[in-house]
Amino acid sequence: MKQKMLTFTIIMTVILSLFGCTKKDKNKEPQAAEPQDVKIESILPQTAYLAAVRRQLKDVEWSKYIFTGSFDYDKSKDSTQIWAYQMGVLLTNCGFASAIRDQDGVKHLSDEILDHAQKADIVDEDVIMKIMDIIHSFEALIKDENYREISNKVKEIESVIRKYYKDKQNESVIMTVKFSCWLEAFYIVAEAVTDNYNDALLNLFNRGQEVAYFQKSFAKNSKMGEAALLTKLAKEMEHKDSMSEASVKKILAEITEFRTQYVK
Amino acid sequence: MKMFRSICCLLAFLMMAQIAVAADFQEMEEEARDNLQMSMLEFMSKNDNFNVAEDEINAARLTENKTLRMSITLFMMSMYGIVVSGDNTVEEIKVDILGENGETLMTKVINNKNRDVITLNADYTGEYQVNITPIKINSDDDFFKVGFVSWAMLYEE
Repeated sequence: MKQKMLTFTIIMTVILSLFGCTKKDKNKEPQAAEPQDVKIESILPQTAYLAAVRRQLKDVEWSKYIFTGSFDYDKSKDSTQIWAYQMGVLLTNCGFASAIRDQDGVKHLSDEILDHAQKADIVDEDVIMKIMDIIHSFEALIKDENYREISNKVKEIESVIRKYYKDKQNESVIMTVKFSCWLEAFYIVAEAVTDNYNDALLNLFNRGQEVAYFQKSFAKNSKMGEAALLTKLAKEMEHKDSMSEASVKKILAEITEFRTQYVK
Repeated sequence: MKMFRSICCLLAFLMMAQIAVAADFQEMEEEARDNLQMSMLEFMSKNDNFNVAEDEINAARLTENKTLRMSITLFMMSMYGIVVSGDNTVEEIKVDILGENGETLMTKVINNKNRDVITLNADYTGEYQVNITPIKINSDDDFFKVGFVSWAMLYEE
């Protein structure tokens, strides 16, 4: 009987070890795939979206759409989700300020990013030091008018944050920052298009694939009503041929309402 | 007791085989990523208005003629670059770009050694599908030809 039990245990160990070796790493992006047909969805960084928007909306004074406020985040009262949303706002706006070469905007937002990073539940001082070093490099880059490098450095800050929370296995914060960056770019564009409306700009709202991507991501974990917001956005963008100025206003209103949860 | 010994031997053999395969795969994945990095640097040194979309280079393991289908939103009036490379066993990779109604907008076969980059000017804003298929893999095993492909999107700033 003892030998039978031992045999059974060994066989189970073999099976489990085999499955253990081949199962997907939970931390890996969906791109790490099994050898078969693979489907993935991808989201471009919002600098790509905003660059395309600026090509279509040339005579707009973009500086007035840059976030100029600051956040009173208190980690004893507010959740990490709120922190993550606010960080997304700062990163997108700072990246956008550098793209439009808005010196004051870059200075203000980079200070805010550093201040906000220090308020996070990041316990690893190296991470804060890294963000600090990146932000401190901005002064020389502004002097050299190397705004493109500033834009790259803003993306690098996002990577540093993502890597920290990935190591902590907190996928929720990573997704929130990603979503917040996406939503903030959408907010800037919806505001600008509302102020400078013409029908030709409606193409900028044909983002059903991206909405579907985030809907899947927030299907089971919609802490702040992300799923409900995405359903409303999807509904407005469902029939792209029947979209109108009213649809853009509705989209802006929905995003503004959602945004009040973390931008007071 | 004999049975116990046989099982132990089998277990050891299987584990060693798995470790060997995993090490091989890791090496192949690194090759694919390195090749992609080279293609990307070469292209971006000549086209400095392009930027890389991802922070980390993507890689996937595919058998010959299996396809990686990527959905992505591209924006009108913008240029995009699609860089695809394989590990050193991958000889040819086919890249198809499909529009929102499934129509083929572009098909190109890339020789892995040539470091070609596909550029695309988006005609409309919306969903595109990029299909990446390793169509020729050099392998000792005729039955199970597997290789790693690596890809990155570039966008015009």
